[in-house]
Parts: sequence; structure tokens; C-alpha cells
Amino acid sequence: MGTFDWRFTEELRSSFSVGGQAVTTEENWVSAYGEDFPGPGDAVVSSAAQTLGFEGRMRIVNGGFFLQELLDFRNKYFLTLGLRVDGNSAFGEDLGLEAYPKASFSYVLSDESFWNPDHGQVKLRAAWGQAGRAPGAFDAVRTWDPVGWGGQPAFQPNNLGNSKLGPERTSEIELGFDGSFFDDRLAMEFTYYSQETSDALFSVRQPPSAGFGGSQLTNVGKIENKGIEFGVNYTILDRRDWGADVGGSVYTNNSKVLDLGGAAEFGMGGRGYIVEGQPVPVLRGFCVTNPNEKAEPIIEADCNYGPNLPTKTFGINTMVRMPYSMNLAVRGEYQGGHYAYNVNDGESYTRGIRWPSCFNAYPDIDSGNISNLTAIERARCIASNANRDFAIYPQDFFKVREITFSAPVPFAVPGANEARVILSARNAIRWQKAKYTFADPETSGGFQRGDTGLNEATHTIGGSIPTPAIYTFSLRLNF
Amino acid sequence: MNTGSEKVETMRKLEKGIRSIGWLAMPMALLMGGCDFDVTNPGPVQDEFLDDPDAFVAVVNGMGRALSDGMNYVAFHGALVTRELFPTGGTGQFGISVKNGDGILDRSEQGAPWNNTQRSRWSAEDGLRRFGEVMSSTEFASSEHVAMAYLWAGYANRTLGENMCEAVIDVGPAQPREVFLTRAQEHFSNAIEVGSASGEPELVTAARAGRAAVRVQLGDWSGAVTDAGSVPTDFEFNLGYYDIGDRDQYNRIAHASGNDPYKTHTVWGTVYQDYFTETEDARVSWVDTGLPGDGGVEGLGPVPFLKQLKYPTRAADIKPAPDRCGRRYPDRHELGRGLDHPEEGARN
Repeated sequence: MGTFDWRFTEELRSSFSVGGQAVTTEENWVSAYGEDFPGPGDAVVSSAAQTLGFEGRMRIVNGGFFLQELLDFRNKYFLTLGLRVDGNSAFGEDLGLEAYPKASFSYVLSDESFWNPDHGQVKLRAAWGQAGRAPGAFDAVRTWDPVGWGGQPAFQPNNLGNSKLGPERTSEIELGFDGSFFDDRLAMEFTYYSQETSDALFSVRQPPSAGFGGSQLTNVGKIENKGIEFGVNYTILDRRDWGADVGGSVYTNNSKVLDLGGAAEFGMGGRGYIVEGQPVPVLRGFCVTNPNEKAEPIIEADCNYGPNLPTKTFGINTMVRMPYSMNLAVRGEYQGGHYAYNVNDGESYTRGIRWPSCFNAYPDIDSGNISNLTAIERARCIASNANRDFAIYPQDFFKVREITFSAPVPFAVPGANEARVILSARNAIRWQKAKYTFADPETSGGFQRGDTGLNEATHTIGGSIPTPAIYTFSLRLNF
Repeated sequence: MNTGSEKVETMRKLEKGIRSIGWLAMPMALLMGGCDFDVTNPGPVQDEFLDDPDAFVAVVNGMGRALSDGMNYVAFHGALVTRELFPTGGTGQFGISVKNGDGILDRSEQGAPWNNTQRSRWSAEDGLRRFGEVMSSTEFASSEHVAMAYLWAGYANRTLGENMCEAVIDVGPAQPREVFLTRAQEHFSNAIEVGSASGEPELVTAARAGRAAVRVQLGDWSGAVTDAGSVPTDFEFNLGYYDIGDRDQYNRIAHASGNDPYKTHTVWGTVYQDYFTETEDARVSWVDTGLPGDGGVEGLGPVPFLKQLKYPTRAADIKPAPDRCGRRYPDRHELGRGLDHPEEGARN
């Protein structure tokens, strides 16, 4: 909302910021259903023999404000102190205001007198801060659904509710540096981060004997999340006609459940579980312990397959500048270390649908030569043995995200200052570790809410349209 | 180093800044204060609203709806495993998995019967808790709502006790299934007592019919015979299903085998295929549609779709009481139901 700058002395400057916001979300919807229409012609719901109407209204208010002070000493030492206060209205009661402080410090090491300017520029930085996430306005209260039964009013359990529900709080420390060297030809960024979330909010599947199906948002123990972010870019060649840049990035993310506060481990759906000492969430289910043996499958329950989120992401990019203003850019990305349940494969195995990942096994199954099959083939491809959990796969993959070539057209376009053709291919090349499935690891199972982040529901594979491979040819004219 | 005049200037700037913040904060406070922070969500109903006597009818109906849902899945999955119906190979909507069709009740695939029937048990027992808290003891002892809630609680526990291997009550430890049956007997007894006080003879008879079946399971044959003797032969207690555009209220067996559009279950290959031909017992009638079922069965391919007529429409009731099947089929356990006692004729 505003920033106020003033100078204490020639060397000490201050910048104070204050702001706030209030967001009101209102949703109203009406829908209708009709069945058994009388005949040809345009059908309208009211002409159906059976009609049902549905209506919903929802209003939620969220608000907050922040204060931040930035102190700059000699344009070399920077200290930032901040406070954010969030509040939200809840259904029936106010969850109150939550304050989240933060502090950060950065130091331009290369501005010191002892630093040799030929060594480039280096800035060191450290930050600590807290952030939070409040439960939804209606998560804390027990509610019932008005469902009807044969045209009579009836209530069924909707949300179990949890009167002790509160916001989760994440504390994070970041340490890192930014640097540029060799006349800015080499640029580097490095950050180490460590997060600890207390009272983490998870959708916990409820035991059916508690009466309420589905999941209930619950504050669950303590989790940590650690990793590094490293980026580098180097200009290999910088001539008048020729140039080449190459860069890369490394991002690691290792999460762990530190403490469940005495609560039992629990499932989140999609075969994701929250278990002490394991990643958040860990893929768990039945597994075949002798997958490659030509023998009867040895099946164990409650196997921990691995994390559901990628633990490592590597990026690589290059840009080549050629004579006649031609450019070639290539960018690729690898993600790995994680597992996910493939919905299509799991459903197909258990329903006896002939599925590509078993094509090699079907001839032996059809001819009764079961002894030729490995244990995992017997478990997956013979429907009466199959369990959906056998469709939990490693999801490591590499994709060439983009290849773009651009060049000026070799003739003059009347009236145009510049004319270029651009050929581009996005997500055109993919490699994946699990050879026996063809589903793109970046699809969503479609049965789980699949947002990303620490508190997501489990990511599953297979139900949605994958990120398409896109090939484009374009002609760009500037007049 | 700051001079004296610089310090004064600095302080002036600070005061100016603080005053500016003050002026800024005032409209912010006014703005926030003028806002309406009420939230609304008229869809889900808050739990406390169900304490209102005007909501009691819907609370009790909810118990019945929940049991109807539970029974729907128990009957649907059970009929296939016991070969009272034969799977045609349809595995999608209103079909079943290959394992289920092979007669294997895999824990990972049997969530619906357990979850829905547990919800019906919990809903009824929670309703009784609610009524106990908001009604006087006199009102509770003679309330038609309480009597009906006891009846639903009895039938929910009976359904669980007859069909599940273990009992779990309100996230407690696993116990023998007889725990469900014992609870069912208590609920039925209370239904008889409160139903008698509230003048509900039909309800009392339904409770006696239910208790008779439970007592058979518990080995109380004399008690079962006494209860069964008080149930008229033509008495029926029905769980309602409705063809009103809501699939969850359909009779699931009828919808799955109604050829509208599903043909995932057939009488072909069951004991009733020949039994009906020989006896024309209307209770297990079927008709040959001349069509193949959905999908195909491994080793058999497409199988004939003989449409069951026990549940002729999506609105056909399921009758949890009385259970007369035992009287006509003394060898019923051979059909896969696994009942332990040939004396099951007493269940009437």
C-alpha cells in the first residue's frame, strides 16, 4: 500500500513498507438435471419426466497486512525485517490472526576493499522466515449433507470436522550466494534451504467406522524439507557472428516426516502415506519382492516404494548464435527419484484388460507356459493375481522441453523492418525409466486433487491428457 | 559522523514517516471495519442444527438412506462372489473386478460394502446419542424417531454382523463379528420397547423379524423361534430404492443387469438358471434376452445375458426382513453364502 524512504545518514538508508489486503470470495451456482425427454426437438430440462435442481452458495473472507523495514548500510550490508499478519473468517468462529515474522541479511562481499575486482562479484545472503497456511473456512466444523431419500429429506455425514484445527507454520532458513565471474561470462547462484513445518495440514483419510467417509484436514506433527538450488550459466563463445551460452541447474528436495505426535501413520489416497521417517508422502502398498525371478511372486504388504515428489531435478540449456542472425536454443529437464501410481495400468491389470505393459507375457499366459513368466509378470498380468499396487512405478524422466531455431528470411518483405522464421518443438522428446508403461509421468490420475507442494494430495498418473508435444512454424514480421 | 542539525532533520523525517503511517492506517482500519466478514455456505449443514426437532425426520431418514446404500453394495458384491449372479465380464461402471468375479473378496477392492454399511451403523447410533442429549428421558422412551433409529441401528449392525468377518466400532480394535450381532440384538430390543410405547406396531414387527435373524446367528434358537412366531407370514420390511435420476438411489443389482445400458450380471451359470426352469419359483425368475452380456469372461468369452427379474426395476426394494430363503433352500450354504446352521428355517 505504501513505501516510505528516508536517509538517516549518508551511509544508512531506510525503506519502510506497509500493505494489506482483504479478499472476499463469493460463489453461487445453480444446475439442473433432466431425464426421460418426450421426443425429438431441442430438449430443455423442464420438459424431462424427471428433473432435479441443485444450488450452492459460498462466501469466504480472507485478510491480512504486512510491515517491512529494509536497512541499507553503505550499499553493501542489507538487513530486512518483516512481519506478516493473516486472518480469515471461519464458518461459525474466527480462527484469529496469525503473525509470521521474517529477517534476511545480504552482504556484497566483492565491495570490500580487500577484494580483487578481477575476481568478479559475489553477494552472500542468509534469510530466516516463517510462513503459514490456514485451514479452509469450513474445514473445522462437522457438517452434514442434505441428500434426500426417495423424495424425503435426509441428512448424511459430510465433513467430520475438527474443533482443534489450526494453521500450520513453516520456518525456513536459506543460505546462499550470487556470483558473476570472468567479466560476467560465468554467472552462478546457489541456495541451501531447510524448512520445518509444525502442525502440518494434511487431508487424513478417515476410518469408515468413524461414520464420515473421505478425508479430514488435520494438523499432523512435524515435517522437514531440505535441499539445494544451484544455477550456472557460462558464455563459451562471444564473437561478432558466433556465440554460445550453456547453462544448467540442480534442484534437490528431500522431505521427511519427523514426528506424528503419537498419531498413527495414515493414508492420503492415491497410495500415498504419511509415515514417520519416510518422505512426504511415501508411496506404499503391496509389492513383489522377487520381481525378476521366474517363480511364483512373493508378495509383501505395506512396502515403502519411495517418495511421491521428485527428489532431484536437473536442467540444461544452451543457446547458439550463428552468422546471419540465426539462433538455436535447446532446453532439457530431468526429474527423478520419485514414484507414482499409474491409474490406467492398475485398473487394467485388475480388470483383465489386455494392456501394453503385459504384451510380452500374454503369449505365455495364453499357451499355459506360466513357468516362462517372471514373478512380476505373473502378479501383474494374470488378472486373478493382480493388485492395483503393482502399478506403482518409478517416474524418472527426461524431456527436451524446447528446441527452437530462428533465422531471418533470405529475402526482403515489402514494408517490413524485419522478417524471421521460427521453428520450434516443445516436449518432443521423452525418455523415462519405467519401460513397461507408456503414460507420461506428467499426467495426472484425475482422481486426486493434484496440486503441488508440501501439502498436496498424492500425485497419480494416467487419467488426464498429457502435456502435448507441440511443433510450431511461425513467421514474425516487424513493421 | 552526524552533526546536530542532521540529527534534528533525521528526527523530523522519522516523525513525518510515522505520521504518514498513522494517516494510512486510519483508512485501512475504517475499510477493514466496514467490511462484512461473515461467511456463508448453505450447502453443508452444521452439526448443531440437527439438534432441532424439526430436523429429526431428516436425521432418521438419513439413517435409512445410509443403510440402503450399504445394503446395495453388500448385495451387489455378495451376489457375484456367491454366484447368485454370474459376472459377464463387465468391469467398468456397475461391473466388478476380475478378482471379485472369481470369488475373491480382495481387501483393497471391498471398500464400498464396508464403508457404506459402517456409515449406516454410525449414523444410526450417533442419531441415538443426539436424541438422548436433546430429548428428555420421558420423551426419548416413547419417541417414534428414537424407535426408528433403534431399528436402523439394529439392521445396520445385523448387516455388518452377517457379512463381515470382524467388527470395528468407532475406530476401536478389531473384534469378533458377533459384536455387531450382539449390538444388533440390543438395538432391536430397544426398538421393540420404544416402538411399543410410541404405538408403532409395524416397526415393532420389523424389529422382531430382525432380532429373530440375529438370534439365529448368535445360536439363541428358542429366542429366534419366539420372535419369528410373532412375525406374520405376509409381513415385509423393505429398504427403498428410487428411480428419480440419482444413481446412488438406484437398486444397484437392477441397474447393473437392466440392459439400460448395463448387462454386467447374468443368471447364466448360477444354480437359479436350472432351478427356475424346473420350479418356476417367481422369486428367482429370469428371462433370456438372447443377448450377450457386457465384456467377456476368461475361458468362456461372451456369456448369455439371462436377465434377473428378482429386482425388475431400479426402484425395486430389497427386503432385509423377513428372510424366508432358508425355508425354501435348506442347502443354501452350498450356494456359497456359508451359513453355519441348517436350522435357518427358523429365521422366519
